[in-house]
Parts: sequence; C-alpha cells; structure tokens
Amino acid sequence: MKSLYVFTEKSICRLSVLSGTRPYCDTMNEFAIVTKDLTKSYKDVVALENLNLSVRQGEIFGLLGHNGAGKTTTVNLLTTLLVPTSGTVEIEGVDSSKSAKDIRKLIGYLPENVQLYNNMTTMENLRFFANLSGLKKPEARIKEVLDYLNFNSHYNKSIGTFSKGMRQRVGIAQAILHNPSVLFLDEPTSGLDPEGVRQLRDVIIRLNADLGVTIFMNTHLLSEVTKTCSSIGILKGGKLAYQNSMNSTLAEFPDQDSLEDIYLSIETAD
Amino acid sequence: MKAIIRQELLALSRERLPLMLFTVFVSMISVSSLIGFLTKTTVSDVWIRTREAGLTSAPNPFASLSPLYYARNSIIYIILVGTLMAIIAGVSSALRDRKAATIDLILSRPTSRSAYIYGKLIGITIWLSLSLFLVGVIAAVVISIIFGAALPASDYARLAVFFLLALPLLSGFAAIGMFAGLLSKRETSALLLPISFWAFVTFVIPQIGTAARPVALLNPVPLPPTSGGPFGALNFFIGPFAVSEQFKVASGKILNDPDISGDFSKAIISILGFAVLTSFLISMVKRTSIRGVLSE
Repeated sequence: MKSLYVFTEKSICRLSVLSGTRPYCDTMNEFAIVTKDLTKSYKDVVALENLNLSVRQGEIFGLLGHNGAGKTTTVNLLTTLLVPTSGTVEIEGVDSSKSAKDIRKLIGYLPENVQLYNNMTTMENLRFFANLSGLKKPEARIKEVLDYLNFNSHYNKSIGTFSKGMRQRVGIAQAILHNPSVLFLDEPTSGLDPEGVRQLRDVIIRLNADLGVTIFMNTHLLSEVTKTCSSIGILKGGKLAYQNSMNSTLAEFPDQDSLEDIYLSIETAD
Repeated sequence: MKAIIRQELLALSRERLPLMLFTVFVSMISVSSLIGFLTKTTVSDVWIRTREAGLTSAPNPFASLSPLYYARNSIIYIILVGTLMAIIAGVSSALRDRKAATIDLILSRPTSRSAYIYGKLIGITIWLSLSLFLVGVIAAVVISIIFGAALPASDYARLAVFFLLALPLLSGFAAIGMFAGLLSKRETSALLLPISFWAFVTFVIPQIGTAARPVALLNPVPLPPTSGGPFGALNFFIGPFAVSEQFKVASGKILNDPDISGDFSKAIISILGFAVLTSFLISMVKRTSIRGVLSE
C-alpha cells in the first residue's frame, strides 16, 4: 500500500493512497474544521462576518441558510479557493494562510453544478483529477472508487451522455479519489430527481460510515439534512446564527414538528 | 503541471473548432504546394513544346527557381490560418474549464495558478508544434515531388528552421487567446478581442509605417518600409510590433526569397519578444479572474 505523508504543525497524517481507509493521524485533531473570526468582504459588501465554526472529526455537517446567506462563500474559503479578508481557517490542524497547498491535499470538493468534460469518458475525467492530486498510474484506484460507487459499468462512457445524477456520481468519485479526510459538497442534491437524491444520500452516508470521512455540505433540502447530517449550522446574513448537533437541535426545540420549522424559527428570529 | 499538459493535448484533439482550423491549415499548405506543382508542370510543358516546335522563347522561369520558392505561400498561410488556429486553441483552452465548471475542482487541488496557466500554454505549444511538424513534412514531401528529386540537406534544414520559427509566433497568439479567454466574462468577447488584436497587428500596424507605398497584405512579400520622413520614423518605432510582417521578413530570408528585404535579426528579436511578452502577460491573470463565471 502506498502512503502519502502530510506533515502539519499539530499532526502527522498518513493518507493511504490505494486503500479505501480513512486517513490516519498520529495526533488526531478533535476538530476537522475550525474557523476563527472568518470574514470575507467584497469592497463594501460583507459576505461573511466573524464566522466561528468547528466541525468534529467524522461528522456530517450541514450548513443551512437562505440564498445569499454566505454558504458558498464559506465553502470557497474552507477549500482555499478564496482568501479571507480576516480570520483563520484550519483543516485537520493546518492553517490555510500558512499552507493552503497542504490543505488541498487533505480535502475533496464537489461544487454545485459541476459539468465535467463532456467529450471525455468517465475514466479520462477521473484520471485528470487523480493526476492533479498527485496519484501516479491511478487506473486501479479509479476502478476501485467507481466500484465502490456502483458505477463501474460507466467506466468508458462519455460524460456527455450522462444524466445530472450520473454526473454527480462522477463528481463524488473525483472528490474521493485521493482519500481526502474532509469532503466539501456544495448543494450536492441540487437539480437531482428524487431517485438521484436518494442514491446520492446513500453514497454520502456510506462514505462517512465506511471511510470515516468528515463531510461538510451546503444544502437547501432540509429533509435531506434530517436524514443525512449529524450536526448543523445556520447562516443568516453572513453570520452564524446557530450551530449544534442534530439530536441536540431536535431536543432544544421540542415544540417544533420538523427541522424546517426549527430552521424558519431561527431564520425569522431577530 | 504534467497532468494539465496531458489534459490540454487530449482536449485539443477532441474539440471541433481547433481541429477544423487545423484541417484547413493542412489542406491549404497541401493545396498551395499542389497548385505550385501544377503551375510548374503546365508552364514547363508549354516551354518544352515551344522549344520542340523550334520556336524561340524566354528561359523557363521555373528552371532557375530555388525549390524553397514553393514554400513561399506557406508564410501567408501560417500568418492567416495558423495564427487564427492558435488563437482559437488558446481561447478554447481558457474557456473549457470555466464552461465545464471544473475550474474550482482544479484550483482546490494542490496545483498553483502558474502551473495551471503555463501547463495549458505548454500543452497548446506542443499541439501547435505537432501541427507545424505535420505541415512541414507535407510541405517537404510535396516540394520534393515538384522538384523531381530529394532536396539538398541544407534546403530541408531551411524548411525546418522556417516551421520552427513559426512556433513562437503561433505560441504568442495562443497566449493572447488564453489571456482573453481567462479574463472575459462572455464567450463571444473572449473570441472577438484576440481576433481584433490579430487583425490590428496583421493588417493595421504594417500600414501605419508604410502607407506611402502600400503593398497587398495578403502577399508573402512584406511591405517595404518607408525610409526617412514621418512615416519612416513611425515605422522605426511601430514596425517591430507588426509581428506578422516581421515573420514575413525572417521567413523570406530563411527560404532564400530574393524579393525579401529587411533586417533579419530585428525580425527574429521581434518574434521571440512577442512570444516572451505574451507568456508574461498571461502570468498576470489573477486567480479570481480564472474562476470568473461566464455570463452566457
């Protein structure tokens, strides 16, 4: 088994390249994701203000909020695609301002509405992303991942012929090829039919249970959050209005019938 | 960077527009050589029959021509079709990841912005050099057929240097295409801006310094620069920026064209400077621009 060693300030993590196991850290951090006073401004507009968020190892965390609440900005900051105006991001104990490249080795990312390369096959698409992640001769690993996602029969088919749900599956595959310890999913069920939503939900839960990957997802579908997430956060106007585990949240609002009611009561509160 | 280069080559081999222009480029070079072959055969046949009939005639005009003369039209095809092919390849490359929404996937991996940009440019340059190699081989074979024998080694070497010199020119225009593709918010402007730049460099700048003695721009012979006076002074400063004209000068000298006049070393510096300057230009594109969403 080949291994990739990532040396961080607080830990030495071994990312197994060919196995399907979760990255092992000699000094495992309690939290996979920590942000401190994270702020992002665009000229006069503050998209995200003083976000203090912590996501435990192995959690499936759902970030909720209206359109424009700052969810995608948060994911872009956590995935190092954006540089914060102020504040810090730590993924697995690695500070993004000091070593964004090391963070990129630790994370997998599936943005909203990813199309992939239509004139290439599943294999060609995945080989490109595997090579970008530093995997040499990744064919075996690609087959392993596609097998895990029950997608091996589409190995040599062109992405251009795929439905949205199938593309999302390839999107998930590219995100987990390099055995990331944290997976970021931006609106993963957006545009999927009910069957596609169910399949993707099963994949997310399996990834978390089998591989122990910490999953951070933005979503609008509150029913999916209830079925998938172990903890939630609610963004309101660029600020974190609420964060707790799913069980504690349901216990905290006994009068509310559903997560939707809880979300709306937090969202509409002053 | 290797992954980006490999992906670029794979993508360019699958995309319609660059492939279409590549086909036109190869066809034109082949057809131009065929036309040269037919012209030579026809004129020589007439000349031979005239002599056989005992009539007097001027010497066969093709008898004294260097075989490299038949590569002359390739200069104009490189300037007209080759550069457009390079621009389209550059624009397609820059827009591809934005259209497929894969740019965030790439930039969220341990790949730097410069590795991404230069990986693409190197990929395009390799593709262009393969195209030029193929075109060069076709030209060499067809010219040898026209000539009726294998050319002297020095002529093959001159042909090789000529097609090699086309690479920095095409690579520079590919970088201009990439620059527009990385910065533009719309696909149409990404295509229009570099083509306008190309038209300005190829057709407008050469006219500014040589307006006193205009020559057809679609001619492999470069415009003769005006000496002295305001046009001469203007040409001194603007001439080097007419990179297509400079390519005509340098190529003509390499191909031993007797009609070409101009400073060879100045032309070479101009072409290489263009390639270096444009590759520096794309290095200045910011990460936020690369990630910009296309509005159509």
